[in-house]
Amino acid sequence: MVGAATLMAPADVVGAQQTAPPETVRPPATPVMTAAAEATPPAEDDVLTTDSAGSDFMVDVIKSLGFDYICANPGSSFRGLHESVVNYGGNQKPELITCCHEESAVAMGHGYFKVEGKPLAVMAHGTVGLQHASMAIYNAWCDRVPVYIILGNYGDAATRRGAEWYHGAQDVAAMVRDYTKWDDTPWSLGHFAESAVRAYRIGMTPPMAPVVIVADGPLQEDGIKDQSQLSIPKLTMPTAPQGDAAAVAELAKLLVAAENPVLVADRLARTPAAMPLLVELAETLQAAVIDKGGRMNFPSLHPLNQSERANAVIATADVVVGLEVTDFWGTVNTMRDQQHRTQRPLTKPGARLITITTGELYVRSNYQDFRRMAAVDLAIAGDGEATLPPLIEAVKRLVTGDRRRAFEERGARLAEARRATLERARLAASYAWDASPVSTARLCAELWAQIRHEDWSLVSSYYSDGGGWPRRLWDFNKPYHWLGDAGGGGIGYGAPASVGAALANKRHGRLSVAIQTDGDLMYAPGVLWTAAHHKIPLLSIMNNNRAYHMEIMHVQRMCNRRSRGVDRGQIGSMLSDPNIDFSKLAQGLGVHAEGPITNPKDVGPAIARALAVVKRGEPALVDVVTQAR
Amino acid sequence: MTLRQLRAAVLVAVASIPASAATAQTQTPPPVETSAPAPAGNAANGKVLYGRIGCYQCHSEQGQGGTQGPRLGPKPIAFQAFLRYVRSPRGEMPPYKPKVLSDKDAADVYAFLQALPPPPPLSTLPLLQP
Repeated sequence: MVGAATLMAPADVVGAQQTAPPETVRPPATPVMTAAAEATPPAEDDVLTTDSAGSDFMVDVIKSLGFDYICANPGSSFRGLHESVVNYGGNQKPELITCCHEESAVAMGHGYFKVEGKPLAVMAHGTVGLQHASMAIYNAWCDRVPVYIILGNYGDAATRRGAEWYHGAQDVAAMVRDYTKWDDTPWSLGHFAESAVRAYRIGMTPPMAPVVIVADGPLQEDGIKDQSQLSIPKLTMPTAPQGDAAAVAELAKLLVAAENPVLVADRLARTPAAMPLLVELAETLQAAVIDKGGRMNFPSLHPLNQSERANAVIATADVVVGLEVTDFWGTVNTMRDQQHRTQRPLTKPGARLITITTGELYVRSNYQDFRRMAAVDLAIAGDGEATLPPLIEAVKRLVTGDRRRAFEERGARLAEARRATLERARLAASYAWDASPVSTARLCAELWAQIRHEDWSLVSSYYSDGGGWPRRLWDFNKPYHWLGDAGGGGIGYGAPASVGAALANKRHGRLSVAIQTDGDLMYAPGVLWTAAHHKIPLLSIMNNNRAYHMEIMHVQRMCNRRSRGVDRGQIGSMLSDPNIDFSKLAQGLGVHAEGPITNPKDVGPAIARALAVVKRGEPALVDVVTQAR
Repeated sequence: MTLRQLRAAVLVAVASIPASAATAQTQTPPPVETSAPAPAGNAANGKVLYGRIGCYQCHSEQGQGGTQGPRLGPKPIAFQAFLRYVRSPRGEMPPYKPKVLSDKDAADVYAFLQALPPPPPLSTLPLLQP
């Protein structure tokens, strides 16, 4: 089955077989698949083949943008482009990746970007495909990740066949315009080239976000009238916007004079260059760093990393700098989730609050992902990573010997606090060590023991990070060790984003590891088949608590507030009775799998066996039944 | 899609409130009180209740704690402080009023927490060594 258009065709054929061929000098508008019709020579003006196609030029444009992969669940509205990718383009750069759901295709692009730093392309039906894809697009939007989406559409109603009416829209991109950065519907190949290059530039310029190009069906399928009139604009990427120099100088003064400065990083690390820069700034100041985890910003075991005691360092800070923080208000304030919601600042009176973010530069109205407005003392509009070098220089210029000594004393205190935090984490992990279901701490410790000497990359989202244990126990120190989260909180991101990230890591020979939750995988498990089919090595360890556990906690909260029964909060959120056999599910999709494992002593050996499979270049899954948190 | 969007909206709402790590930090147990002895409780019944009324959801199956709630046992805080917090939590924990959790049931849960086994010595766990 290749698409709904094909599915619809037989209805037309059946009707045609019951009527005589029309007596007309013009060819019929739709093919008439009778034996007589098939045997009749075509009229002289009936064009059946073409030597060139508009979609060939589209592939030229796509290749010029450097895409390595193009993900798609096949669909008839982009059949011309599909054919050009695999034949004209040789199915190389981009290579077509077969996906079982458009949401998986976009989420793969989301995860891929987190590793590779460049988008992959996605093809989808403009209507039914885009509707499937929309949740993943929203996640990418909220996470400010560019995904390059090409949508097929039959814009000209006069040439639409049966199902193409369902696959046609006046304004294809309208339904995702609130959470994409730019879109266009080109009406010529020249227009396509310009808009395709423009879309790439816009999507990749901070603040980054998904973009949409509509590829009209006839434009794909019609021949090229005059190749000499077509050209592809040169792609020149704009530089990332840097914070204003005067504002940066003012911030440097505040930081050097501060007694307890705190650097809070969230989506700061746009490229691998960011982490060394943040380390340099933090070490120059001996300042506390809170890594909120939107990206891999700061080494987890660094003595200045105070992420596990964030509220404590915020409470004593006199200067707090938010570096691409998505929720700065929530960083320096707290709000209780009780019947009466109360809020209070976490900072002490007089603390100076500063933000550096491209969030100032592009805000949309409808969806509220811009978060609550924080009252700050200095708001620097600009890219956090691009602003770090001048900030570091400005700080270094201001540091005196006295300040350096004060910094060193501060750094020693923070290092001791970090050491104590790590010790507490190890002790905490020892509780319920031999419990069944397996504790999330034990799961993560067993996994860490198997991968710590590999060149690993944790590709799963923060929803599936095993109760925070990897970041509490593991040594994250490379840009690809941690990829951040889903952005918009839409469950179903984890599995496909992990496969997309693993696709990117494959080229670098890295071991991709996912701590995969059960609820997330059940959205679109077909992505495991994609991993098997394209031989994408990925070690998936199930954190299978047999529930949508976050939702259980929400409903439990409602039960308690209303005091009319506190023992039914699980109804509607459990994934049990029957328990899902993820091992059989994965095996059925062509993936090596073991489980369900309930004895913690069996976890390590199973992971070792799965790791051997992954090292052969294939995906593998181990289903571990875990505790709720 | 409606359910999916609803789930996403709920999760966004959660994310807008204190982050998970911060949530645990805000749930500071009350000061230890040693004046009142703990009432006799039925640990076996307490174990059943601990699961049924949802304590495990934040504090995990053996009370060891998690990102949403601190460790409760073994060696829980004094019973009166425990009960007061259960009835009127100062942090994020949902309240358990007498209408849905009697003092006797709370004592049973407390007994379960007291009876929890200690962890193995850290030095005996190679996977947790630095």
